Amino acid sequence: MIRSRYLIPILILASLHLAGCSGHGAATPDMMSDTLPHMTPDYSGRPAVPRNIAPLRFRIDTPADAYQASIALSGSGAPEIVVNSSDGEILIPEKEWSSLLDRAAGSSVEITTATRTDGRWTAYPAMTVDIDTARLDDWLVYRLIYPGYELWSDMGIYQRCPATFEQQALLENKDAERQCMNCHSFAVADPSVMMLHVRGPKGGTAVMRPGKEPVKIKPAADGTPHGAAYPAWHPSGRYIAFAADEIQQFFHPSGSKTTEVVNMAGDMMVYDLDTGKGFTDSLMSGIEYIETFPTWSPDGSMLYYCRSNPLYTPAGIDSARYDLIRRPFDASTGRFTGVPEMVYEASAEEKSITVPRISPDGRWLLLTRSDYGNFMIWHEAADLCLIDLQADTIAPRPLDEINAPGQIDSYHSWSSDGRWMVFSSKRLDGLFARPFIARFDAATGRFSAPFVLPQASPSFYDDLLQSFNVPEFVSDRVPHSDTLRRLANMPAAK
Amino acid sequence: MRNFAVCQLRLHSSITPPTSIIMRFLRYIIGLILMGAYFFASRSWLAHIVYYNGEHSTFLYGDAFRDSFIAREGVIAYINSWLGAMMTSDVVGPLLLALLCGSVYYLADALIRSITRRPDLLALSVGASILTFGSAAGIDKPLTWIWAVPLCLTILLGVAGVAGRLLHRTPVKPFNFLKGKADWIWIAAVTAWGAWGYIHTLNGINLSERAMVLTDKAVRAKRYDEVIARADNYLGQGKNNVLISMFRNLALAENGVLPDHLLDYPMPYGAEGLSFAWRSDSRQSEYGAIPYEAVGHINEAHRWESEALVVWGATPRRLAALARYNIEMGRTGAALKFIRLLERAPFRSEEAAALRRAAAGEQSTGLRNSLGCATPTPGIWANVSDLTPELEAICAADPGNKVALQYLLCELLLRNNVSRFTEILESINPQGELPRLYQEALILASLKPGVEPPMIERVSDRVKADFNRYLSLSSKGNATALQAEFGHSYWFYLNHVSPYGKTAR
Repeated sequence: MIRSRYLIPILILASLHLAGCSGHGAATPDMMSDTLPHMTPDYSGRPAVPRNIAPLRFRIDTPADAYQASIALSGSGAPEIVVNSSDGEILIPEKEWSSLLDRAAGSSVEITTATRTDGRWTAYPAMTVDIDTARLDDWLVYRLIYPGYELWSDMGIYQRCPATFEQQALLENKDAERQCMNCHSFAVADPSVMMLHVRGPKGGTAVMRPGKEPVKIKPAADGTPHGAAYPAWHPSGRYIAFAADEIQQFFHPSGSKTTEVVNMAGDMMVYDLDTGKGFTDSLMSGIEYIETFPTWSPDGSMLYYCRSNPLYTPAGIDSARYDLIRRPFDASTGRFTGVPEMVYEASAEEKSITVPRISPDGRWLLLTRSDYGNFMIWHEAADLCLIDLQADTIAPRPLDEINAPGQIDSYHSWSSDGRWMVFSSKRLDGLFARPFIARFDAATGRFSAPFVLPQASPSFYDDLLQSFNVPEFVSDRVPHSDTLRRLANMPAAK
Repeated sequence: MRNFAVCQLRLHSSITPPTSIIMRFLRYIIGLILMGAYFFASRSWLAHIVYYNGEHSTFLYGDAFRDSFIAREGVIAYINSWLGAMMTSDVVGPLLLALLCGSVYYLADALIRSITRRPDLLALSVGASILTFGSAAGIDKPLTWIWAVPLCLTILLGVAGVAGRLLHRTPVKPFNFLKGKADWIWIAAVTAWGAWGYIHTLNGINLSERAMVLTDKAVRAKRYDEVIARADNYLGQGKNNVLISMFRNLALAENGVLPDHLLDYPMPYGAEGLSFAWRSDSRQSEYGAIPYEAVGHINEAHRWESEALVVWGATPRRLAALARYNIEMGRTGAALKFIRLLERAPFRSEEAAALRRAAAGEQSTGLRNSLGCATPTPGIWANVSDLTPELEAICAADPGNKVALQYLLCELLLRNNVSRFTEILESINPQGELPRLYQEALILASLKPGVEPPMIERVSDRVKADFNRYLSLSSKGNATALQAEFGHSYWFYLNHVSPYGKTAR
């Protein structure tokens, strides 16, 4: 039993300790530095974040005895949040951050850091983070996989709420006989309209649509000898375009580039979920060209895809260059109404493009461009580019405001309102893909500085040996976990 | 007065004969003997268990790792991972094993006494301790019991102790009805348990498993003479194992004598006895990088090690290897990521520091990167099933790479490709006496019609005479005599062992 005469000192010490943990007082600096400390992740560069993003927790890597970060509304001076740390990890509390962002929406916050060494505090320049008034989609879906080449063990499809640190497993392969799963895809960011490939003894494509019985199919069409691979949902939710590709890997015996993933052959097909039939024609299949990576215009009237000349020998892989093609489609009849049309001839510039994605307003087209090939997550020269489809001349603009020089930036997708974009980048260490988010200004066609998806621990990306694969925004939580598990464990319908 | 009398009685009771003193303390000495035995066993006939656990643990210090590991695999797996990581040290690991398993004896003994109020006459506590130690005596056995048993016993002892206080239990009484024979019964029981434990543990050792693990350990430590000795010990028993063969051949090549001893033992796997071809075999992925690293094919070693990372997890061995390979490949960012993780693995700080210096260019990785770090243009590709094209490229790029040259020539012969072997040997034209294996192949090459016998002057008369005898025995169909006399020859390999057919090409 605590004697009463000790109670007051204990309370004072306790309150001092608590104040030390998340005190309201920012340290008075003894000196100022004109450069920022080394931080992980690095949120300097003035990123613009949505008002519903989780706290941008980071770690100060500059050696010191104590660390502090103060966060204030820009121009206000007085810190709203003060975080003290003994190990450099600045764990911004969620509730206070969320409240601050609500008040800072449309403006910005300033994060000031300080370190103490030998009893003296050093303050660093403030980092500005713009807080957008727009909200980000509520969930982000991605696959986590190890960066191996053929073997796999643990993998899964996960959904993460960007506003919190909550991550849920949609399907993990330990619940599906260790089969491989990939190419999760949604129609117009609608979580209720989803498909997913499962590869293994019970391989097939799981498809879920509202009001329809979930099915597991093996999409195919006459004239496409290879299995359905890269998908694209038609906005109506009735059709899925597939690239039916023969995909092989080749390995470089030397150099920093290790792998080439190559389409040895490929065709384009569309699968009608209502009729259960796939269809194509000679203009999109056959040996004359290799077609891959489809995407639909937001109104569903046009199918865009990538196309290259065929390969004849493996040694010609670095001459495979993909152009951007589109073809008009009539959803009411389920038929293509015109011939394929060249949109952007990347090959003429000795370039190659892949993963075209059109913004929800139909004006902007994002793609990844490199020197050759179509699977660019292994190409250091891969960069994101943007095309204004309403411009007189189709000319991709390299996104210098986003691309990391000499690093791999690839796989991008838009948020449901087109205000945000998420892409995979290996810029943190050159090997593991991480999800970066950037704000898009449709009026100027420019992006703000990207920021990596925040995590509960600043050391999260240091520890994680899996890559974030195919990040896709969805407008609400995906409800299909149990259904996915059931479908993954059953054979495909014949 | 009464208290004084009681004290006198107790004083007289404490003046006991020497044998009883020994018996009284023997109980504690046995525990120390057990600990000593466990420590010794862990460093000798069970050393492979300690090594294997140390090399296959994925434990890292840090709260973030702890939280994610526990969320993914649970607390039990986390503790097992930590215990396995402690076995990275061949002192700390065995010491921990000895202390934990030895403590089972003391705890079980105390618990039996606490519950039964009698000594542990049948030495069940000894049995419990030995069984606990034996529960981890296999590389596929979890370490759970090693720490869970002492933990449970501690909890039970605590509960029994509290219950004993509450119930005012009587002191522990000796087995008076055994008329002084209790101690000897106990000693006999201890001896029986000890003998059983010794025999059971020895019988439970998988010798093939032990040979493979210790040979693997010697390979990675570059103790090539030990590798050869262990492999000879294994293969000399008439056993076949492609992994042991691969290790042995690597050690021979590092010692510069691969062609002299390639066919000491049958090579029914052909070129797989030198390096694994890629067959999506998750088990092979653990070792596949080793020969590629040895011949200086760093990209291929990196690929194998990346696949091993997927299958076996981020063990310190994987992290260190991937760090080294990425440094050589010019991917410093990736290397630093692996190094940062390695720094948080127990007992790896020195290794991580050396890798950091290597990443900064301050010291070598110790690897030979024969093809360099430039990506060739146009691209040439790694051949996942036949290493000889890349070995040729390696030997052309790095003529001083003796290991790669031995691998190239031997692999060509194992693949029956005598023609290409001859072409390359002619181009190299090594000085001095050729290895017998090469001479045997040259004789075969000389049989090709319409072609001048290549380098036939380098074939000794002895080898020529042997070849004639081989042909004679072969024509008589005397398989037994043929194998007895020429079982180690290239001619016999080609005609009777090679998995690539029975003729040279």
